[in-house]
Amino acid sequence: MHTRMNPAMAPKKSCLGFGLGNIALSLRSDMALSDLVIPGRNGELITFMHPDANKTKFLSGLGKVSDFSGSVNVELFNLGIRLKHFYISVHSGIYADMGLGIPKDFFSLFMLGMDATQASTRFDLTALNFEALLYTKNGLGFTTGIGEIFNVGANVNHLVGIGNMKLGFDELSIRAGDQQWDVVSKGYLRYAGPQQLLFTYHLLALAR
Amino acid sequence: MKLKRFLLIYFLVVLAGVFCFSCIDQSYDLEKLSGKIELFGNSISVPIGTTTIYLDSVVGNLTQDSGSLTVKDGVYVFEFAGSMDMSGLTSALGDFSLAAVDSIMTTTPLYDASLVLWTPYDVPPSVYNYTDNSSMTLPDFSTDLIAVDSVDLSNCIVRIILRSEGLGGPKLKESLNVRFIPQGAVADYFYNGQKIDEWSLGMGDTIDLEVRRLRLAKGSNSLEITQDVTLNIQESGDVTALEPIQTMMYLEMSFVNPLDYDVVYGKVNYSMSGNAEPISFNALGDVLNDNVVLSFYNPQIVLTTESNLGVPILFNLDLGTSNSVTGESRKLNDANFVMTPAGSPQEMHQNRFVIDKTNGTGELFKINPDQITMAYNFATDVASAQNHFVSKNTQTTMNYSMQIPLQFGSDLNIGMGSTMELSLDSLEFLEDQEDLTVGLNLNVKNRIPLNLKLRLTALDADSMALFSVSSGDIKAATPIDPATGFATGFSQTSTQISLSPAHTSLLKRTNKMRVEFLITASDQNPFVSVQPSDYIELAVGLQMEGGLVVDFKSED
Repeated sequence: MHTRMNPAMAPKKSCLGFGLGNIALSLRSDMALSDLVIPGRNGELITFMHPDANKTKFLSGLGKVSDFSGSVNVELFNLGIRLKHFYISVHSGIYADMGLGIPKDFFSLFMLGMDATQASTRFDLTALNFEALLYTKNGLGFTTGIGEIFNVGANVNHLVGIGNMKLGFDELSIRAGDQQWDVVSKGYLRYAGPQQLLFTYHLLALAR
Repeated sequence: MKLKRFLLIYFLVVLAGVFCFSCIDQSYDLEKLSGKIELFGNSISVPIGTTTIYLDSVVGNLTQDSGSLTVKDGVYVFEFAGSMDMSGLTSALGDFSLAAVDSIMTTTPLYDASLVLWTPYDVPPSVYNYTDNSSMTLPDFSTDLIAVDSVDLSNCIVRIILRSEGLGGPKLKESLNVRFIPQGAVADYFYNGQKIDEWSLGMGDTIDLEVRRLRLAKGSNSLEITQDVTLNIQESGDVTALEPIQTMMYLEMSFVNPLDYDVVYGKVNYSMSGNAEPISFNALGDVLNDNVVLSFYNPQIVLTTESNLGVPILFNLDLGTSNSVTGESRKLNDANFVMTPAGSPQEMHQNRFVIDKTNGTGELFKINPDQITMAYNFATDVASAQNHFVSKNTQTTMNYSMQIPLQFGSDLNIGMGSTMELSLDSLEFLEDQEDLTVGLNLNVKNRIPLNLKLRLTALDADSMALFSVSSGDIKAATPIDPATGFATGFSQTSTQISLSPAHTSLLKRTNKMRVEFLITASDQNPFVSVQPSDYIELAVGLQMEGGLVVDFKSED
């Protein structure tokens, strides 16, 4: 796997891998762990949604949109061959990258709900978005030594997209009242893949 | 040299590892992460849905064992109909009959031939006149049932036969004529369909007369007839005395058939009592609670009689209701009527009596009865100045129609509902809520002219009430037409039913939920009427206040 990170780092011996031999998972966010989990009373660790957590403080610390992203890489096949000073590798895998943007009002909706002092409460969820990219990567790596200390290597990858999806809104808002929720939604779902697909809608929903 | 250098580097790397430290903040030990989260910390209201319930879908499906539910002039009407058993009266009158009348024979002396020296003896030509009376005594037709004044007889033939004793001759028949003259007005005689005041017969003749009416008032109890006998002998030899005796004329008078009547006149003295089949009244019984005031504004009982009886009858209706659950009962008082008689035997006279709210019919139903009983007493009005008559084929029917319009009085106070079996396993999480208040927001558009209140009662496995929560008053429709009681508009009310933590903690023991509408009448009008098009539109929303706490680490 490390030859994919740094082609110059080649193993001493040949190797062969099939199946789920190589899985990588990564998660990233613009929120700190200390935003999400907070030391509570009696040594207990609580989440930001715990009844004792200061939800107002949590929400005030959020930006307009909180981003979450992650990736899953699964290498299905790899073959490395050591030929004295040369190391040649072939690899093939599936890669998925995902991104999620959650607006501040989304947290407000589920954490606080509605403002009981008002007849209705408006939640602006326009920034809610989701994107996913799925592709295959097939590559060829070459490593050789320069002198006794240095190695130099290169990978050549061939990427084939399987699908790309993006969900977003031009407007998504909820006006929640005691007897009626007004939902205004204008969004899109784009998908690119073997079959091109574009779906858009414009909806004014009145939930009663 | 290379090996030494490698070992040195390797040693330095290992040594660096020995002096590497990592710090762990125990306060961020994920092992101690609480699974509790709180959703909707302030409040949340979620519309569940809107439903419109038309009254016709509720009331229209009510069924009656013995009645029917119809819509008249836009108002629901429970209707029960049946008849009273009047066979006792018709049977008693049908048993009345006229006693038999004994036949009579009157003997009238004619020519005295007892002293003649020979026979046959030619009675000398001359005109001989004789007079005599016949009296046919009539029995007392009166019974305990009828004090008979007069009778219209049916096919009543009186036969009169004349014959002689000791007389003969070729022209006896033509020579002797008897003229009959009825005395008084006891009987009406008819011959060949014509009323006659007198009639004549020759010797040996027979006549059948029809007697159509007997008048027995003022102590008359006999048929009195005077016979004027004329023996007119034109020539000697026309009439002869056959024996040396006092010659005689015999008059036989008898009724050919047993006396029968078409109509009997006289005071009728009869009384009887009876009852109708009890009415099982389950109009709203299955859905009503106990201890209610079911205030129907104007239930009506219409009695219709039809009879050819010429007797005024004093009628008393004993109408009662009872509730077998509460043991309460009500009676209708002062339901007395006079059935006027038929004007003539040919008339089928109708009487119609309406018993309504002025008689207190509304009180009968306030106990939410499940049974209605009807009994009656009647007696002929012997003190009436009118003459009575009874036809041979007296027909008397009495039908009742009970009509209960769904018009409610101002003191209506009922609860309608049903009990539902519940499985609240999915709501167990509510039992652990310390601050959560769960409620239903109701936005009600009411086109029914009744005030409503929704009440939920949680029941345990033994049907014991655990708690009860109610909505606020849902206002009756407005305005209301004062003439008909119909709602012509609607009202809008926003109200709520809330379950506090004290209530939700009891949900675990809740097996059943009784859902009731507590209904009272609008005070806008003395009465209100419900119609099939009345409806209630409910916009229901779920509201939670205080935060919903969920513990993902809970073993439950």
